[in-house]
Amino acid sequence: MKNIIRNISIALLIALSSMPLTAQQANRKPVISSSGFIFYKDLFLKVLLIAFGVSLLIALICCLVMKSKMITAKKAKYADNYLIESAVVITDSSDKYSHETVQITKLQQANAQDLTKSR
Amino acid sequence: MVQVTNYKCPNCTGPMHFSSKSNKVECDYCGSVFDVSQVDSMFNQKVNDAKDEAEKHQDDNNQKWEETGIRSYTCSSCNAEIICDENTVATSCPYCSNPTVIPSQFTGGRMPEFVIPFAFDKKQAMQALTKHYSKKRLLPSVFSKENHVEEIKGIYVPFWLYDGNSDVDMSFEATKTYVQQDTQERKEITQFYKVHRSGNVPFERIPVDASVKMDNDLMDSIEPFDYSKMVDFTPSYLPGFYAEAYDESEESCKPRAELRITNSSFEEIKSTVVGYDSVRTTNSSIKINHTKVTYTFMPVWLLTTKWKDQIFKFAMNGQTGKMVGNLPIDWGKFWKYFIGILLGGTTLLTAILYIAMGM
Repeated sequence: MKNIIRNISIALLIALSSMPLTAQQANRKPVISSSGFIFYKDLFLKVLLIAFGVSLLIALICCLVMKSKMITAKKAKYADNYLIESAVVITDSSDKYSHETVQITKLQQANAQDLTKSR
Repeated sequence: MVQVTNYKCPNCTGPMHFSSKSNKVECDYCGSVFDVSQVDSMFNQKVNDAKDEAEKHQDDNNQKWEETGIRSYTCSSCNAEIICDENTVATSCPYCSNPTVIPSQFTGGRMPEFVIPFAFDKKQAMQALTKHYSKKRLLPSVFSKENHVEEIKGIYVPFWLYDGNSDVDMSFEATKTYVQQDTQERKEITQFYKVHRSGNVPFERIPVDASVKMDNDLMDSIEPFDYSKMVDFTPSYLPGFYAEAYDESEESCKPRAELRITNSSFEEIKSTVVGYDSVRTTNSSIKINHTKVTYTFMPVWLLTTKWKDQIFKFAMNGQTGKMVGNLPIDWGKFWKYFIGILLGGTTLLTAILYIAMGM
């Protein structure tokens, strides 16, 4: 379920980033104009899609939270309450540098080229 | 037949029970109140005599009962025959209702070392169940109205408490990432480190219920118990409640404690790897050393309800009042909420976004 929520979130972010988000950016041609109200079909559909996606995510999270409250008997997986934290002893500790990778993105070119080097 | 011990009031011979409110033993009839130590001195001789008698006849009794799993005792108050499970330690006589303790169950090293006395009574357990139902939006509306508590029992549940420590050895691959940017290009540099940690993680009194009849998930979920209120065991805490002797040995319960020790030890050691953007475990090993196991009685209120031919079990920590138990889900309500939030949210957000972006 966590994966579903994550995938929906990613899809929404991609949709948001690729859309013209203002009337100026969108094709500003009024489709319906009655009693002074200007309706932009293009913008409306995009806004509707975003709103639907965000609401879908909110509805899913809310319902899953409500469902989780119904299940209160669970197997204990940790013994954190019984750990004597003050008596934990680290007997050996080492942090050794291994290697590094460099990812270079050219900023001037329109089609950014990724170069990956390993040293 | 082996005798049981009834805790009768020395003033009026009425049945006595341990009161969770006063933390003393009270008479149901005349209201006399006694300290646990006073009751101990009054009944210790009786308990010891019954234990001795049981030890003498242990071999005969075991042969008779081994196959059936049922045992019979004589009520010392009304002489009626009390039939109960082979692990029952405390119950009440079905004829005279006198709280009954079976001292023969304390023979052969089956005497608990400690007990946590009840701090909540039956009424408070019922109130806790009602509270457990509240604010559960997906609970079928008729569940709390139609369902009736079939059974409510205050039980001293046998627990093993495990002390020990773990020797942990772990290896990780950790990374640090930073970005360098100028007008020409953007460099993302990721540095890889090989990290190693070894350590010793001590644990104290990890509880594992030692009764086959008790639902393990329920018993795990009512934790934690406040060990500061734990006292030396004496049978005087039992009158008025049910009690079971362990039927799962400390060896057979050990894997449950070890699983928890392993998970927490790894998390604890991993938490010492700091200063990195990502940490991935590449290798881990653990050796658990058990130093001590303690046999203890823990107070639990068990409530059973029935709805649509399905049995629902709830447990309340008799010391802290924590209530747990799975509830049925009304899927109709689930989808109503889902569609409601989806449509409401879409309408509201569309209006807000359209106005904001169209301006």
